Amino acid sequence: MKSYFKYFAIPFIIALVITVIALPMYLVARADFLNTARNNSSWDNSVTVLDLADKMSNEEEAALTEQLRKAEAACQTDIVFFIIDDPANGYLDSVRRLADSFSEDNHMGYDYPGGSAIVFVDNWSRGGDGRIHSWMSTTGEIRSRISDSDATEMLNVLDELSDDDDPYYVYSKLGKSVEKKGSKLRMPYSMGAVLFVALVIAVIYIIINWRSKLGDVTVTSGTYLEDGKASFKVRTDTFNHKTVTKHKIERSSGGGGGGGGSHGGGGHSR
Amino acid sequence: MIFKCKNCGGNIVYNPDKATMCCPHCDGLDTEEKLVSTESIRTCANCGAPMDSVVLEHTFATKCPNCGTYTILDERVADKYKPDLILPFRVSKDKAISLLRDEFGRRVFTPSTFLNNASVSKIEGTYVPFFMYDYDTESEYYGTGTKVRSWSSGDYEYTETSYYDIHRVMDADFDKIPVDASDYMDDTYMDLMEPYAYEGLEDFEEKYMSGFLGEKYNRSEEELASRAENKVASAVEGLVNDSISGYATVTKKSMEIQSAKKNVDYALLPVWEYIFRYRGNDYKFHVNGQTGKVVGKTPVAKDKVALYGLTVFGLITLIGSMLRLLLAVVM
Repeated sequence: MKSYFKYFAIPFIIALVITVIALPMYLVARADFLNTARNNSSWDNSVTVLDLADKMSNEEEAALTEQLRKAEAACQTDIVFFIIDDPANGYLDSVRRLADSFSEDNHMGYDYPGGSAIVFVDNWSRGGDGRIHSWMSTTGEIRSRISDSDATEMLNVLDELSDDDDPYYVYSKLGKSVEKKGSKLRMPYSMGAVLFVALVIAVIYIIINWRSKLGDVTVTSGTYLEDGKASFKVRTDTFNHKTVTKHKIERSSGGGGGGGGSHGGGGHSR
Repeated sequence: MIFKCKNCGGNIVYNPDKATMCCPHCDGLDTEEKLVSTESIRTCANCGAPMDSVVLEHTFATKCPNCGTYTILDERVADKYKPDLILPFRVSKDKAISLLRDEFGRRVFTPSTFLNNASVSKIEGTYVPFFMYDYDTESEYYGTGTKVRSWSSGDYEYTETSYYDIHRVMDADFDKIPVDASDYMDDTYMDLMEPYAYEGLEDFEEKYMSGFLGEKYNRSEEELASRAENKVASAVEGLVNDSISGYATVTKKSMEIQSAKKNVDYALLPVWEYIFRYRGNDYKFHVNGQTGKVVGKTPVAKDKVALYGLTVFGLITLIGSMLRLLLAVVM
């Protein structure tokens, strides 16, 4: 056992140091997170689900509200899911303006006006282009965790919806995505990934240390040569002929672009 | 035959560190006195104890199981069995043990008893019988080499391949190609022991064997010549290949080797042998008694594999989990 502890002394010390640093830091951050109460008197946050289009039953609305309340606590962000059927906002840009102004006009924000807020607007009224438009507006610190491209990607879940579908299931999935991506103490990778990497490293470690070879060959072709060298009576390399082949070079081409603003978020049309 | 110390009467042995006869009892140097046995070779010349258990078919030097005296069997180092040459040990027992520990000490999965003092002190120095062959060779080689050049012009890429005829005629004389003449010693191990530094070769004298085990050749030089010829062919091919360079590919068309055996010497070469018994299997380790080169494959203790593997798994899991918490805070 002495050799075991001697062998693993440095890894044990490294693990101990990282544990001593990381665990208290996490516990302090978690306590701080749990003790950070919402502090915004301008928006009372009494409404989380506003289903003006009446697409969900009362029970579904209550369940979604409960789910979004948990997401608000985990993300320390005010969240509103605003479901409408408004022909006046029949374009993606007008839906975006509606979401942004809802957040601004109501002074949404978790701990102060202008703090983190998410407003998701889903307008079931088909616009001039015959499509249903949705927008998720993000404001404040949440934007560092949910980027515009993240928001756009999250809204792809709406593709699962058709006109006759019950949207609760899809809204619930969207709420879970928001909570997972926007959580303040969000883990950067899963425990499953840690276990997988540990298993792979342990297996590689075993294979490397298991391998053992008999010995190296240290005799060369010239080891037993008398006087240490061979003599060449003939040593010629004569050019014989050559061949030339040709083939056409395949060429290809490509390109790209990008943009930005104070409200963030992403849109979706279906 | 045994060697006794003139000063104290103890068994005097050859000391590799001092390169001379040294009495381990009174530290006398070159105080040996040869005592030729008049008894049967199966009886110890010192104590008279039977040595049937240690005198096998080819044994010429052994150790009395009763008094520990190193005995040389006279008739097995005389006449047709008298070696021409001997390479005396230059690596002592302590040095051999130290070399084994340097080579295998850091292997983590070896059993804990593998290199402990009780096990490794059983290492024995043995003179292994070798035939050393001298060959003169003449070889002729024909082959084709290619050189490739590529360039682009317009929408096309061109590849030019030039073909060369390669011709070599080489004379190579080989001196003392060793082939072990022991059935007990594994050929693979003995080939890996090479090379020995031949400048240390001496004319055979019995005194070099006192303190070591040994066996006479088990097979004749004619029987083993084919192994020497294979070694010659391999060396010739290597030398020719070394002389060909600068080609993208080389294809051999033909190669003819004519070899003539010039001389054969019967020699004894020094090898330390350590046999480690583990779970019913013998694991052999050899140390070249002159150069110190180590050959052998270590056993694996499965309980250690499990313990160390699980520890690595646990450590990575712990470190990964803690980094996960740390990143959750700082990100």
